[in-house]
Amino acid sequence: MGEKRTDLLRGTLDLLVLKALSLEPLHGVGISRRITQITKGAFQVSFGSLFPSLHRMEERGWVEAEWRASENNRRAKYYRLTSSGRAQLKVEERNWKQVVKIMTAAVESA
Amino acid sequence: MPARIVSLFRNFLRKDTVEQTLDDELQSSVELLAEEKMKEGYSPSAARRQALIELGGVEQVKEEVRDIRLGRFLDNLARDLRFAFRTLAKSPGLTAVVVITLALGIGVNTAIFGIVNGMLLRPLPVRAPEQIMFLAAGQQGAPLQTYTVSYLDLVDYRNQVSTFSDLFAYEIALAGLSADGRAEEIAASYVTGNYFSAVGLRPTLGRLFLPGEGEKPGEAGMIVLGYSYWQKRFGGDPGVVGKQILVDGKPAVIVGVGPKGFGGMDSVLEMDVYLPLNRGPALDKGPTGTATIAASDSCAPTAD
Repeated sequence: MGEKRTDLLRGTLDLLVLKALSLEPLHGVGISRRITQITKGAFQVSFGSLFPSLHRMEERGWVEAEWRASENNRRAKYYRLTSSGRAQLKVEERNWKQVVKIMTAAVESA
Repeated sequence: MPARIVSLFRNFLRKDTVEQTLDDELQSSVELLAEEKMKEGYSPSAARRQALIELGGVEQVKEEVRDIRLGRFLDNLARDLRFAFRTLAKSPGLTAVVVITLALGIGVNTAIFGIVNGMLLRPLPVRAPEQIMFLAAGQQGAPLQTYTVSYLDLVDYRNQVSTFSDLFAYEIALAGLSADGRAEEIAASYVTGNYFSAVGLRPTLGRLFLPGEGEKPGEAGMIVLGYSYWQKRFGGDPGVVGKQILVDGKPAVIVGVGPKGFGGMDSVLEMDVYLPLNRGPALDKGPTGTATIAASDSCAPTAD
């Protein structure tokens, strides 16, 4: 684990988790790997933040969990986006783009 | 509203399941991670260790998740309570009726339970409470009633009845007790001399009345203190025995203190003190007085 670790901005974790789940249901470890993959290795999510985030989203009804066999036949808890989770993903994507736009403009202003 | 209530209860009931699921989930994550490590070439035990390291401590993760769940739970609870109060505040009339109904219901139940507990559930703290009987008698054609007898009748019964091992009587009245320059009203039982011995009670301090004692007029005034009253009024002072006090203005000597936990034959009303029968209203008018006394008797297996 010698890769450079970037601290996740507060609030970006939920977006990344939702994004990671938008393709297919994944278990906790899978989500962590998928985030590393889609951020091209820049982000390594600690499980101490990932699991609380997942449980929070489950309470809010954005994701649903289901126990089933993993690819190598281990029982694992898979998370799946609900329709409200998909809606939330859209909202967070839009918010993020806005933040980036505003921040970029602010940083590049003279 | 029902959905709110259901969700509130689900929060309570789900706690154990949540905990169990979290346990399983972390366990399976450790295994999944360990498998990855083994593919990278670690030995099974090293892979497991690496997996635990990457997970960052199973207990810590659990703690983080619990915080989320707890925070969520408290949020929900606060929201449910606010909702409940808002709903109640919207119809103050109905709320008042409900609150008063509940208050009265609980109050009445508590009072009834107090009486039932005293009279039926908790046995008298005496040697053989199941062998104490209250005499009851009825005239022809009239219903059976708790018996009250004159003292002379009681003497006759004692002489002629052989069914019971002993016959004692008592009468409850309020009296004024004055000691150390302070007077107060107390609940007193005026008792026959065998009141304590018939049911096998022993004194905490000094002595109790003796059979036959205090049933004739003109005897020196005596008093036995109830245990609680002794504690309350005299601070449990062991020096009270022999102390001179006034009962209804007449002198009496404290001869002893009753046993702990005993408060008279009627558990619903705790007696402060015990006085001889001859000080009570029944014998006030002399042995032929028509005032009545309640009689109870004990039929201990050993006849006397």
